[in-house]
Amino acid sequence: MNFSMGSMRNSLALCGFALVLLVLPARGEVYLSPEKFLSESFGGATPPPEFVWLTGALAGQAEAVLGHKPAGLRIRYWALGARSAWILDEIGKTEAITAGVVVEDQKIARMQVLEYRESRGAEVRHAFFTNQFIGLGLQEDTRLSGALDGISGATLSVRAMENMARLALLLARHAQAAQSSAP
Amino acid sequence: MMRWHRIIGLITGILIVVLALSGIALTHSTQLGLDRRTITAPWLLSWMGAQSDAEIYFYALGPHSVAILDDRVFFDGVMIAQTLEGGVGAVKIANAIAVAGKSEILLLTENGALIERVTALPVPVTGIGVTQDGRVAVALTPDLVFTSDDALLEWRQVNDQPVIWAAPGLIPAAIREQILQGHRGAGLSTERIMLELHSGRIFGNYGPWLMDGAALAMLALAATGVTGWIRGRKRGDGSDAR
Repeated sequence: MNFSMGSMRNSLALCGFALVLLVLPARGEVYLSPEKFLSESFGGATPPPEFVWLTGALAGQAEAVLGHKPAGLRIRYWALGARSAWILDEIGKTEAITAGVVVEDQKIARMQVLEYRESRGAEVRHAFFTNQFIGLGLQEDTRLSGALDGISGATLSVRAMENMARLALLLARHAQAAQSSAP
Repeated sequence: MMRWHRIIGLITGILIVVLALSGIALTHSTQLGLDRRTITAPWLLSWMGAQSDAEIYFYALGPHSVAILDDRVFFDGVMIAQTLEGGVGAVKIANAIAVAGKSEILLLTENGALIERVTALPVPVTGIGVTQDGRVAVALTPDLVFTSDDALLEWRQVNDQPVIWAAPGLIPAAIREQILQGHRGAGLSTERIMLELHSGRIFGNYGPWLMDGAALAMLALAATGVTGWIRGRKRGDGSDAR
């Protein structure tokens, strides 16, 4: 009986939460537009976009980083010298988080949440969390070169942010290698 | 007192089982994957009234087809995207298909795999078409038309360039039924069914009151059970107090 009552209490709370979700409009919070992010990242002179194709070995590596197949076959980026900017989407729990990542010399120079659509876990947008990514690179096993302090109650959003950072570093490494080998 | 305990238990037993099991399922919804699993049983979808009254916009593109229903995009009848806001149309270009919403274009391979969600484009898009040289064109107004390069990376405004604009056609009945089935299923997770079950809403307008009654019965069961046990102990048998 106690177990059922406990379950019911939790479930009634869930029902209440679901009702609130039904009433609230399901729209994301935009913290920074992609255009502004790019402009800020390149000192006001955004370079023209380029893209990398997720094919062959790179597709497999991207899938291993994300834990699922990437949504698209190509990813757009903006590059100037050793600096590249990536705007990526990744699902937190059920909704996509849009983040901007700037990679310079194979290290993260900037990490920012551009749009957050989940109902919980938006704390990942704050600088105290995103600043932890700055200076991190990608190890050979595609893990970040340093540890991150997570946020209680935002585990899935933290994981999504970490995966986007790893993916940006992986793609930046690939893009630079392709650029170096180009005639 | 134990007689009342039995009567209440018999009358509300099934509802209490439903409350308890659906509650446990909801508590562990993520671990059980209920939020990701969708319902496909036609009778349940019909019972839940999970149907759309929106029109299906169908575009025949050579051997393949694209259909747009609400915010969802279907390729050859199979849903490939759920969040295309304000579907505008679809066109075939060289080696690819472009499906426009009002603020983005889904660029697909000829087999329907997503190449990219193109969001860097002039908006709001009200029309999509193809120029004579095979480039994608979007219209913001009838007089404000932009065309892109082959990769849809950059856009420039054009004037007086002939464009064949996408126009929806007649949808085959089989694809229509497939789309409606997919649309209903995609919108209904097992977690939602559990919520409806737990709240009683699945049983209709009076369902929540029914579940309220079951919840009160649980309180009554606790009260009659404890009272009966205490009375039994006072009588000295402690086992079966009537």
